[in-house]
Amino acid sequence: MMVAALLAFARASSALARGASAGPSFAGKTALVTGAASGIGLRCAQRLAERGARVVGVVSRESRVQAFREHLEGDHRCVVADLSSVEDVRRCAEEAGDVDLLVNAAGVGAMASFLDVEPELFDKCMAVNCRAPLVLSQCIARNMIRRGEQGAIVHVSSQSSSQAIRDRCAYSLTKAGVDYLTKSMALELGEYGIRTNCVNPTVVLTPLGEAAWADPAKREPMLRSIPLGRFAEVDDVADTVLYLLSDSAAMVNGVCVPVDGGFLAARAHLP
Amino acid sequence: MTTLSKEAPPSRSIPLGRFAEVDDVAGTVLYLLSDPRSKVFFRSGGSISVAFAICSVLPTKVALLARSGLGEACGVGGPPALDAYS
Repeated sequence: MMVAALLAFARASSALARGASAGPSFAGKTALVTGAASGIGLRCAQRLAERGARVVGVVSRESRVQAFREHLEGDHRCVVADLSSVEDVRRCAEEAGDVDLLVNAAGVGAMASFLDVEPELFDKCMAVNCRAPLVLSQCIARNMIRRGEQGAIVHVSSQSSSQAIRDRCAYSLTKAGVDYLTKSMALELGEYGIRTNCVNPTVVLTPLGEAAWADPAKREPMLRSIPLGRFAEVDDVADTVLYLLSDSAAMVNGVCVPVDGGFLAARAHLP
Repeated sequence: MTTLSKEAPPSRSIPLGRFAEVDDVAGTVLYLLSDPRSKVFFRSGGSISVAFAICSVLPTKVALLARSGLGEACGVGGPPALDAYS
């Protein structure tokens, strides 16, 4: 009888503990998330809001404000900005005010082989994927330092930052830049208690990802090169972003975390 | 080469300016173990999980791991592009 009671108590305690540790709390924090109208950015914004953060979302067009508002309950702000413009990026930081957490999730694709990359496409891709995170992070970090507050920054990079993939020359080049930006920021902002990390997902099943990998001739070889045998869901990436933003990662700084089902670990065995 | 001692300030080689607490390592180990989705999507057999396993066994060596280049892999405070070796 006593043993049964103890076991029941242990099970109840375990369940309570699981509930309490279901995820980190970001209560009282302000999170700025770019690309917040869809995909990884939107899911990160949702999850941060669910865990108590005040979210400021950055979207690329006025028509996307509604998408942001439909998915986030509560008093969260939305800023419309063209992240290929340095002025707009700086305006985002000003409008966001005091920020504790930054997620640079906005990005543009650029499907072209090395021989076909147009300089204009490269410039656009570089401006949004690499320069915007740099400039926005500069603004946010300066504000944190001025306030004497610590914080965390996560960039969304890609598995292709370190693995050549056909027709991704310009895009991957910008993501390689994001990986270096991560390490450089970690080195120079660490002394202020500002941590910087990035996630490097494989193909993510966003509407854009679905479309880009719809062709079975491309899709199947890529799937075969991922040991877990599937592409990433948006939540796979958001989980990792939230961990890197949380206090559980208080000593994690300057890392590029593959969220790739083992793609990079197994790249020597690509079919 | 800088001599690493208990008294030496770690700020030269670790951007966050401190050694790891056991909880820093435990927090990440628990994260890696916690959710099947998160767990499986880390690099299978990769350096992150292996390095953290080492840290959890030898927590007092965390700073040494960072200085030996494993710091990038296990993320103990900063990237390896540091100048503390000179």
